[in-house]
Amino acid sequence: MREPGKLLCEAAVIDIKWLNDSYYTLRFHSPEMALRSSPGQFVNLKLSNVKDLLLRRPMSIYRCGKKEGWLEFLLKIVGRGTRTFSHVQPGDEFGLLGPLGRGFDFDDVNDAILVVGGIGIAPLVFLAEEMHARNVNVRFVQGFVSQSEMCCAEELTPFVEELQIATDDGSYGFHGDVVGLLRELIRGKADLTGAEIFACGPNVMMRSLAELCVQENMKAQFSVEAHMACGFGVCVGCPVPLHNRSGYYLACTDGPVFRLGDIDFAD
Amino acid sequence: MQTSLAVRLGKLELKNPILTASGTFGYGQEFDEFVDLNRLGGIITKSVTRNARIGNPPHRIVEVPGGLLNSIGLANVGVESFISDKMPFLRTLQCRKIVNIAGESLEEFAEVLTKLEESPEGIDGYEVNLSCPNVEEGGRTFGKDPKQVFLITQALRKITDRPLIVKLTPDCSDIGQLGLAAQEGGADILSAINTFVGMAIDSRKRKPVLGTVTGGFSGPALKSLALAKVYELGQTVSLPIIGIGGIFTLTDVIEFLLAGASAVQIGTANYIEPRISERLVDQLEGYCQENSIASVSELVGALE
Repeated sequence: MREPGKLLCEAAVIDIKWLNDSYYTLRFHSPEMALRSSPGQFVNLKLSNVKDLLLRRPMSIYRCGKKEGWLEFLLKIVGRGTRTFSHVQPGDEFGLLGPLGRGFDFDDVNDAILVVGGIGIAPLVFLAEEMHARNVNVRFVQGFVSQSEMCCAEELTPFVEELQIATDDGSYGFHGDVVGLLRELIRGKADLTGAEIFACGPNVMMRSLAELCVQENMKAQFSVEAHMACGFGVCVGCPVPLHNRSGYYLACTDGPVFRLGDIDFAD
Repeated sequence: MQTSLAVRLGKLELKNPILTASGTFGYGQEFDEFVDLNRLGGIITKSVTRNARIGNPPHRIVEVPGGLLNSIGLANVGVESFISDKMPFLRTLQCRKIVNIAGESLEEFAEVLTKLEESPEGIDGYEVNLSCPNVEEGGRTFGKDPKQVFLITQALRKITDRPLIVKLTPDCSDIGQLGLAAQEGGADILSAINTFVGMAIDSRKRKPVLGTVTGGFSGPALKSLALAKVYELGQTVSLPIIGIGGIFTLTDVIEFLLAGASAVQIGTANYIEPRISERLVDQLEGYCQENSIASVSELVGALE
């Protein structure tokens, strides 16, 4: 038997928890998958015995209990798949294919600023935890539409030195977008501009963050989102434009994490 | 009881009728960790063109009711890299290796085929993609016109003695005429169907979802449409047919055989269940044993 790099297995939901009106977590018992997972990777999920969702849904790994053997995903209801998944009960079986993709690289990082917009937080809580375990100084900057969308502060507190929050409507914390908040935070602070940025969020945020990083000469890694059919490089359905637009990477196998300068954020 | 899954399609012999459809199985190696590739009847590669193609702008994939739309645009490594980088792995396999070729002109098809013919061994046949809906020039235009289908098939026939499969588009008024044209041009086998042209719209943004506006529709909803096309071809041509379209289960496979297909291709299902092709081989074998079918070829066209 060949040694598989990816697991293709069934796993039962052991917990579902609502964080706000549209965000929820699904926890699975899947010890082998948990052991193999690293921050920034994703798993393709399929709800067993549901026929009207055709494709698996790619979901970033949100938390991972390697000792206890669980794996958790943070989902936001945005469409048919995430709505259907929100109705599951503990004990329901999913098909899992993963871990997929190339995650974050923080081997040589001492200081990190994690920047997220909305549901983009999903892959960065796992990253914060793993960074903390390896003595990286982690600062976390979150952006949400409004206070009612805020989540994960409690989960993050043990792992981060500083947690700052921006809301678009000013209902909590910094009034404005997360990149505006980051700009305020790093202004004139040499210790912060020496940190590496790790980010996930909507394209408009990532584009403006990339510009800021170039201005401040900061290194950065971005986790991108893409439609895909397979998740392992076969359908070629998840192109991410190269920085000079001469071709494409695949989000699933070349990413989903890319370095600043390697890619162009598509319109 | 002893049962045989072997099928013969003209000069192409398969140990079983389960093939994987072009574009859904990469160059085979991508599935090596999921499937014992040697158990399959064969692999049909991603389309190979003269030069490498970067493919279409995003979005390229969207799920729609009953299936998915794709607009990949024949992204591939090009024929020379295919021969140097992909063929060495394919040559290690014992299943049939069928190379799907595509082009924007008759000359390109001929050039790709000529280059493949010059490469030694490891190729058991060719499938001619005359029906890609995602390339402006070429495929789509050729594929709908029986005269063009005849001319291209005839030109390629002169270049190779290996089994030549012509893959037909369903976006036509009379698939029987396309099949007859390929037959007259010297094709050995027909495969049907490629994707239907489809479109998805984001009403909120008032924009098409796919970067190229339209794309190819595949998935479960295709099955009944594909069965009708395979059946129609079976009534019209004498060539063996490979059925494609929305095959996810053993029952789907059997329905295509009954409709007149001598073999089938598994497409979209590979994305969702990477092990499905091998599982269908197992299930088909079990089915034949349970139903005392000595040879699976007894099922071909056995519609009552």
